Amino acid sequence: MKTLSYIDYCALPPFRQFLYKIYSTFFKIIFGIWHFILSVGYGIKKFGIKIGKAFKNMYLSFKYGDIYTKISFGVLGVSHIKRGQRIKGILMIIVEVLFILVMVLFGGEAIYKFTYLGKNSTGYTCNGSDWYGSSPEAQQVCPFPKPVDGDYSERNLLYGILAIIIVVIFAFFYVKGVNRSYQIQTEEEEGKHIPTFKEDMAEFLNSKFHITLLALPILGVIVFSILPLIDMILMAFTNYDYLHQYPGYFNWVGLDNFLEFGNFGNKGFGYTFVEILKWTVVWAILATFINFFLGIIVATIINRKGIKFKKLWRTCLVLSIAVPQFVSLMALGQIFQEYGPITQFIKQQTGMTILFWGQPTPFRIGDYILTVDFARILIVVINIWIGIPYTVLSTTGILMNVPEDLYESARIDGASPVTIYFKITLKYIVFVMGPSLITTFIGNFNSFGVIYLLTGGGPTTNSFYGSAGHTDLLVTWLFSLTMEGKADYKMASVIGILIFVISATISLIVYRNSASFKNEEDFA
Amino acid sequence: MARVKSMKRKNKIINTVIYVVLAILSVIWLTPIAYIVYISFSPQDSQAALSQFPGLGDLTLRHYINILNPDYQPYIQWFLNTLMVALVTMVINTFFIMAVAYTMSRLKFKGRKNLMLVNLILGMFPGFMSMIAIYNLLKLVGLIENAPLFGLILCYTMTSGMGFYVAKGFFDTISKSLDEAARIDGATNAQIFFQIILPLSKPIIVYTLVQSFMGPWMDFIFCKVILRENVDSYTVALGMNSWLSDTGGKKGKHFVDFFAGSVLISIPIMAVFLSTQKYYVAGVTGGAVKG
Repeated sequence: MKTLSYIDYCALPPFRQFLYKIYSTFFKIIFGIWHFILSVGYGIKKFGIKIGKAFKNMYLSFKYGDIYTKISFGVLGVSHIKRGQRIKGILMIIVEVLFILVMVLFGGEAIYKFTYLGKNSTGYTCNGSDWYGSSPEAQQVCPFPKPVDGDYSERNLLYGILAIIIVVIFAFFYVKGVNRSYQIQTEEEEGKHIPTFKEDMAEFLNSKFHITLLALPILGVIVFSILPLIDMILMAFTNYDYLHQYPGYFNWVGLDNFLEFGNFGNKGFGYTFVEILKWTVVWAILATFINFFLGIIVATIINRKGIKFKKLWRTCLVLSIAVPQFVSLMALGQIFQEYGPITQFIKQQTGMTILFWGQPTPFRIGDYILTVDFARILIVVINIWIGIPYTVLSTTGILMNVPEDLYESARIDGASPVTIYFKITLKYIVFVMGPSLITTFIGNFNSFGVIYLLTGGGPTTNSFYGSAGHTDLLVTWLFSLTMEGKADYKMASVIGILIFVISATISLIVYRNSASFKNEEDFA
Repeated sequence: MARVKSMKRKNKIINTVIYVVLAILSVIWLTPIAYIVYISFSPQDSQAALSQFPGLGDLTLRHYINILNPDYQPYIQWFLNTLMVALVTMVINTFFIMAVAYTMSRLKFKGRKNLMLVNLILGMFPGFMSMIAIYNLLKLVGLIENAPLFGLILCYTMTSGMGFYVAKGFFDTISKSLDEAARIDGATNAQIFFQIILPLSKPIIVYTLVQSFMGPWMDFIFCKVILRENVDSYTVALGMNSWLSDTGGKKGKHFVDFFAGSVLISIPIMAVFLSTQKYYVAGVTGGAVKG
């Protein structure tokens, strides 16, 4: 790509400047994705090298290790006990024994079941075929149905992942332990001081303090974030849904669920996804930028010199943050529902019942049918009510910090107040708040509360997959698919994976182009 | 002189316009809140209360008295549930967030960058995605039947370490020379953390405490998934929301109760929020400036 210098860029006529901007943005996106692929490849390569190194170390440890180190390959910790680290060695043996016990009693089976997830339903059989009857007639035909303990696929999936995680963690522990056995052998040979248990423990408050602090939080993240996420991601490759859940079973189906994207017919998944994605993007853009710019304007006028009761005005706005959203949004939603004051007022004045949401029936003004767009507009407007106070709260501090000399020099140069506002105040805020704008954008892309509490996704339509609604965002659609009525877990996880891909791509492109990415120290 | 005078007049006009705009804005922002309070005193029970505007004489405290009566609806029970969950969550979350933020900000160790990267990637998955799996997990362990509130606390607390960015931004601003001086004097990392950094971090600790305390009061999706039909262990948000459900004619009976309950829980939350507002601002802008 040919990059223009800033001066060349300014020399272009406005229309060509615009074209150049589009052109360069397009290339930035392509490059962003390309670099992402490259860095993933690089990461895999680095990871491979690391594993290779670990194995090489192990080989060397085995080759040069004495008999105790060699035994340590089978029974971890022997080398430690031999060289005076008795408690540590015993702990290592205990961990190893526990691991073997867990694997024998539970892990092996879990991993085996993980490979097929489910073969049989739980229930009863009668003479070899499934038996569902509980009526008197059915009881007569088969007085003693045989209970079948089928496969609990949900559990098989979860336990399988858990077992694999345990194996991975133990493998890590094992490699470290083995390499360390050899290390302390050499330390002993060189006559170095081998730390006692007490000294080792003391290090956990000093040079290894990060392990102490991070242990619990990381354990929590593994069990409550990574494990469930892997579980959900894998669900996208199964047929887990309403028809295939306990006491039934589900199993692996490969990429079948992703092929649903090709379905662009009525109620097709592909069609619904594209429609909802369009609205999600429009929503995210509107919600982010309208709130941002209106909020800045409000903050500016509150902070204008000579305006009194600044604190009072601010508190009036900020009060709405302090009311829980499920209260304020619910109440705002009620105002516009069938019995709400606004609907009733319109009814009294015009005789028309206007349903803003929750109802699939459109209403007309003249020839114009408005349901869908009206619900969407109303959501955006109500979201302004929710969002502006946050912007005011966060920009107030920044507004007060705009360097005074910038204003001074602008005034001396004879800039008008409007110019000053746009060229200095606004520019400064965008400069400072820019990075957080992206976070806000991703947040709005995944904003759940506003849609869920106001409309629940409605007005629903039968032409969408899983009866999604016109105001559904991707996340609310995902959520409604996981609810008991629909229980379409497989497609919900497909949507989740795609939301991840989209947010990751957006953030990646932005981070690559933002200053904080280029300046590593700030980023980290 | 004339020019200065006209400038002054112009300023005055602009200020008047701004006052009018601000007054209008305040009305817009306060009306829904006032409306909630007003409805909560309505003599009606059902949705009809929304569009009927009773006079001052007709207003009644009946709904407040009703919901505070444990025989009527377990509102007080829900309140205590939420308070318990919120307090435990507050303590654990603050500890987790401080620990992770401090580690990521000040301690240099192998794999630190990778951890941040993994955290960034995990954060990009929509949170609701894992909810169903977490529910399955808790059900397998038996927490859903036996101790649903404990399960809820686990959900609120266990992954809280991932939200360390704001606190890290704060720790980054504390001068590193403090650590170095202490280290020269022979202090361990733990001593630096507990005796030097934490005492200096009051604003961010208060911010984190308040944020994690408010979470359980505001949330209602997670508890809905975890608690389901378990009415006695509902949190306030979930319990009150059940008043708005159409099943069993609850909406007709409890619609106005919802508003009364809302006012009751909004008051303490508002008090906490307004009294700690300056910490909130520090937190928000601290995070924003760092990006």
